[in-house]
Amino acid sequence: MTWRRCLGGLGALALGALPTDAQSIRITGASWVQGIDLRPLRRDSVRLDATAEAGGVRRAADGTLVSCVEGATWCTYIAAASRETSYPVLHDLSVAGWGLGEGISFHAHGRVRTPMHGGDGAWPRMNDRFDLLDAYLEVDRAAWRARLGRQWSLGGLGAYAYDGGSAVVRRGGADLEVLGGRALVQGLNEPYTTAELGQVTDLPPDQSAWMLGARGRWRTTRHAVTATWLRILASDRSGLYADRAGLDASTRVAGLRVDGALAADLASGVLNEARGRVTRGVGRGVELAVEARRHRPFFELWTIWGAFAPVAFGEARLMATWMSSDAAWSTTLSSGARRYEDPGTGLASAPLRTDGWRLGWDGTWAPSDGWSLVSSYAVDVGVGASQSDGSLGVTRQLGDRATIGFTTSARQTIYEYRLGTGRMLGGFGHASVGLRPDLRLHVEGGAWSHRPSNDAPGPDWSQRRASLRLEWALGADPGMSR
Amino acid sequence: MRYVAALAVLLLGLDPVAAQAPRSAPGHAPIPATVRRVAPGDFPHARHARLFPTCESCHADVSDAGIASRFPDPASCLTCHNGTDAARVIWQPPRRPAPQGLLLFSHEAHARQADSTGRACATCHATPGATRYMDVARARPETCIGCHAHEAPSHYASPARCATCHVPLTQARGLTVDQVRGLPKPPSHDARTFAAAHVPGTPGAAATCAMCHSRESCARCHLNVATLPVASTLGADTRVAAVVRDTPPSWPVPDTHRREDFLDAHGSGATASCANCHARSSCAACHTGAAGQRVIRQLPEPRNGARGVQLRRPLADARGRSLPTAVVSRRGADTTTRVVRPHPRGFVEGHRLAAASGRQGCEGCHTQRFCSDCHAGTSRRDFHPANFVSGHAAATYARDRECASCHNTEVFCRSCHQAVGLRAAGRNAAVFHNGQPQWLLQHGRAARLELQTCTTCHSEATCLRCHATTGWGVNPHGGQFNADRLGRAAMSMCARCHITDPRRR
Repeated sequence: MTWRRCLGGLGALALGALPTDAQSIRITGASWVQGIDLRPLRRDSVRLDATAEAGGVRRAADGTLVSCVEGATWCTYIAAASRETSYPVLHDLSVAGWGLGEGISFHAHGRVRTPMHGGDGAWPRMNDRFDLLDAYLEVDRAAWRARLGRQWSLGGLGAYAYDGGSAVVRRGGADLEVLGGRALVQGLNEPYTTAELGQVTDLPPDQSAWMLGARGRWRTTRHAVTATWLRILASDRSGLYADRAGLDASTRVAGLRVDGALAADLASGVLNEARGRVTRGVGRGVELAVEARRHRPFFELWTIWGAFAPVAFGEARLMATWMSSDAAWSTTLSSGARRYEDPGTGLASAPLRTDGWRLGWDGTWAPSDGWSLVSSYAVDVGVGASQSDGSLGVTRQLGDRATIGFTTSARQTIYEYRLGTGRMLGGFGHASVGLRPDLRLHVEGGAWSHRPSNDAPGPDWSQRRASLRLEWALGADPGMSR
Repeated sequence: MRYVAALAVLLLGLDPVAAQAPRSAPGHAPIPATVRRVAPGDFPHARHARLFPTCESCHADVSDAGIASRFPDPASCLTCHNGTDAARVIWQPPRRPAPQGLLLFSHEAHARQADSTGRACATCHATPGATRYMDVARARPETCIGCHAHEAPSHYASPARCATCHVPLTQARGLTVDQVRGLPKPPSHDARTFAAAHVPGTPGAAATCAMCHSRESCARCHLNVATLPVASTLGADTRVAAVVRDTPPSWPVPDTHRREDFLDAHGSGATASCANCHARSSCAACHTGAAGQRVIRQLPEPRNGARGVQLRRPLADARGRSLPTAVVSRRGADTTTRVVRPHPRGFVEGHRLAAASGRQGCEGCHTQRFCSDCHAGTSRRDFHPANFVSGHAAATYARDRECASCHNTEVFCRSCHQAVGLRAAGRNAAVFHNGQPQWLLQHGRAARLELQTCTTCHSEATCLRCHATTGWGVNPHGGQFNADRLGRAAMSMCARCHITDPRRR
């Protein structure tokens, strides 16, 4: 309650400031209506005596794999149900106001989700009707900056939202930030005790959490280093939900650009991310990049997943890009190979793949102002799944305000665990027009055909999609709203 | 001069041809009764070649500074062209000096310069290739360069020291606006790199610019002309102002702007030269808030409404990605609008390295909402291509992008999978995993390899059935598991599977 009073007081102070010519407010909104086809899975059964073969997994007369229990009358299987269409609607509204004093501004961004027709299932989190993404008051001066309210910590450790305060002190090319407040679940933007976790998790956290963090940054024209520390602890201080540190650096030396990143889980004592990339332009529009990466997934400590000791993989990547001097042509070639550490479990007689590779190409051709053709092809073979896909698209820019285009794509997916091997072919068109400087309309629609190529169960992704998005804005735009 | 005229008369009288031609004698053409007027510059030198043995016969005082002394007395022409001996001719020497052009030349200084044959005037005035005496013409620039070698291969080529022979344009008062407009353009000005590197580095080079340019020439493109030292040395000229008024400015993109790292340090590396083309409004196309204001304040305010190179962010396609067209220029009288694409194609997918290190200061151009808009699970098709859902599982396995940066896998993935029926529910789900009985033997390896994908369908209860002490008690911890460390950090996590503190065993 105390901090709410504090926030209210600051808001009243800001809103009550004497009006000046420099005061202004920018309100932007967006409404996105989609129509989505989907064939959910349904559970069905056949009589045991109508199946062939023997054992726990058999085949029905039509070849469908079914799961049978010895002695039971019925075998069960999962298949795609009839088509369902739903129309999720998302509304975004954001407000930015400034001119309340030197460097004082406030920002808010909310999102409303409403299913227009049909069920909630076709779009994630449709049962969460309202999200407040940002709501903070900011005072930004040359030497320091302070924020209070719902805000984000963004950096090498990811994006974390929290309700609290942050302060940044700047000195030359260096700055130091400290932050703290009530932690929100990463990627969810809700308190740890939210019912949304309880709906999908057997053991949701029973304590809300506090977040503490600090970030130091030093930057020159050639070098940049950022160190980040973030701790999320249960509100009763009984334990940690996360304790992470990151170090990101970049430098340019001898014609090379070197980028590096480290992210560590301090609570578990493991390195989640180690990444280094060296990039060099070799002339004639060609740039080469070599990257090495080691990745181990991070899990917060309110789940049990981290105790299952996931292993890391190492990957080496090579990329080359070329752009013609007039920027009309550009292309990128990328490749990579990765290998996982030994999982240290399971039987050698039942191996699983522990390596992978990828190869990709994409190219762009802009024959004239306004026209562009983009095509791409990529193959990724690895643990759990393999995929190859290609696409070809053309976009036409019509004057200053409108674009129109069409993209066709083909994709093949192969899953090591047989979750829906198949081919998909389809395309979609899109158009965008600025009806007025502050009113823009996007329309797109497409259809895809999914042809499963084996008899393993899985969703039929054959679908039609259409969407209409209207974006609008009110008020001046000195950049405070983007 | 009288001696010269008398000598001419004598010569005419002695010359059998010249003396006979003008006379009205039998067998000869009659002498025209009309009077012919000859313009000062049209004097037929070649026809008089045999009359005058030297140039000084007529131009006796050419080395004097006065214009009148360079030409003969018109009365001397009447000695022959009196209507009796020859057609009457009226010729008047120039009374006033020629309009002051660009030429800086002194007859006085050149009067003693003789060629290889010893002829002084013919050194400059002989018609090229002429062999006859008094076949003369106006001197040409090439003739000047013949002696005034400036190490340049041609008249307009660099490094010509123009000031040797020319005066600055502002001093050439005799040139009209059209003549100024018609001044030749040196080939160097057509070079692709000329605009980016044409600032004169030495006073001598600046003097060269002044041969054809005035301050208004610079002001055509340079927004900061008032602060340019070179421009201040050129002086003002109304004729140039009239010429450039109808000539649109030109702002080619410097090569430095095309370098891949230009964006990283274009602020901290900014110099006064930015103001050549950019006003403050250029920066405002991208920069927001207090970031970059120190540099932006160094730029000029728009000059008389002119904004120089005005930048604009590109249109985006339906996926929110910038169209690949790199630069679109639309030229106005004093403004060129360029669509700039600050980040290369594909940047959004791999922006982590640049953003996290601070190499590119995101806050310089974006408010926090720009980031949270995506990282909170975007409400528009910005990041993933259309129909990404059909291949999202493979992308998840490949771990090319960190899903958890924007999506909470516990809720985002599992709620959707549950809704479409992809939910682990007892033994029926076994057919998902190869439909093979040995999956039970493989699942441990699969989990350690790609545990995050397991969690998109399975909740903890699925695993606790076997792996909790209240279940079968199968130990799931691998070799890297540090029980003490994790226990200190989060004993509540241990308690989900263990009834007692496992560290006390």
